[in-house]
Amino acid sequence: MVARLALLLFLAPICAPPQDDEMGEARKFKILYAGQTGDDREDRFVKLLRERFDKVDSISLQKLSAEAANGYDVVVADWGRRYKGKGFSADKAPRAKLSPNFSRPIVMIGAVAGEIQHWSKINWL
Amino acid sequence: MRLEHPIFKGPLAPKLDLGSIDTPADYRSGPGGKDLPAKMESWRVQTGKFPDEVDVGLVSSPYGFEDSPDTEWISSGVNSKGPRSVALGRHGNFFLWGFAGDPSQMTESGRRVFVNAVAYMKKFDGKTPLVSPISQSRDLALLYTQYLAKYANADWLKKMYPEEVRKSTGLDAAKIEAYYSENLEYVRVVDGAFAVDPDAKTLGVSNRKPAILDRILARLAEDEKDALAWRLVKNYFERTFDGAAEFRAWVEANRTWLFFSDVGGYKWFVDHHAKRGAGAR
Repeated sequence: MVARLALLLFLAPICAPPQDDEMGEARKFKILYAGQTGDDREDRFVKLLRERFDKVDSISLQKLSAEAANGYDVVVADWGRRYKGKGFSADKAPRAKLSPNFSRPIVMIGAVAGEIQHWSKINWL
Repeated sequence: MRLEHPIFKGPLAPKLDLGSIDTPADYRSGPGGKDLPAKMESWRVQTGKFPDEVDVGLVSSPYGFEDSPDTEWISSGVNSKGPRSVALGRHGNFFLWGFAGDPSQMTESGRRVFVNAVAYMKKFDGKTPLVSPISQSRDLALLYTQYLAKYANADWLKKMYPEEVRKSTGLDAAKIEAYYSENLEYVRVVDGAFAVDPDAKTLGVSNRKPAILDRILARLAEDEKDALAWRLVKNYFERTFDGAAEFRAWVEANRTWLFFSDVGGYKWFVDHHAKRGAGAR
């Protein structure tokens, strides 16, 4: 019993999530991940975000809108891979376009940045 | 890289994997490429080989990127366009994380900076971009000259320069570069070409610096119908004014928040986010 308790105590720091105090107030931010649901990327991004933020939800990027982002502090926009060794597949692009009134803070990952909006200075070069 | 940027500071403290890499070969053939050093400072953000393991990311044009006050160039990334291309940057409520790797492919510092970027963006709620890109930065009038030798017959390139410039220079790259170097502060895009504004040049005042506002006001104070002043007002302001008094009142009411943007259309704009934040109407 003592040995088992010692083992549990030994493992506890390894299994514990990253220290909350590092995030400070930011820990309370509400994050919406909008990506390709069911894709490995969704799992990995959501896992990373949930380690650091108390509230993280996930939806399809194709359902992202100003309304869907209501109640969240920051949106993360992502999509699945396009290449996978076979050249760029445009048909794998998301059918997603934000409306110009989209005003939530949004972090756009890779190609998505040039696909879901065209009115900021962020675009394909 | 702007390592002093908040995303490199917290809330998570990243231990950046800084090093140096050989300057990418693609950079050599671009404008200014010959002057680049053999090695460049780098930070490893992710692992994985393109295209088998990780997708290509996205970089944005650096030219004119920061000509509005709601933008931040934070870092480039290894790419095929050039060393200043934007891989990490912000415009209004939009943040570009240009690297395509997922968290399993990011370095520990990459994951930490990514989380920091997400947290950093919270304060930009409602801060939609002040300008949309509809024109090209004047910097490109100079940079395109370096493509003239290679693409001398390309219509897209020739059209960048007005007919009188093409004729007077014979599309000689050195002559065009000299012409735009001398006149860069008077450039504006007219019909898709980099034109030199004769009115700004007559005044000898940059069209993108606040001094031009005072020169216009001074001329209108002397003559309310000064034709040159009104041409400048027409060319560089989005709205119209019903007389010199209205123009003066508008400039004075907005002066603190005025900025000039090339890519926004070679106009003076009001930073309405900052103005509203200051409680002004």
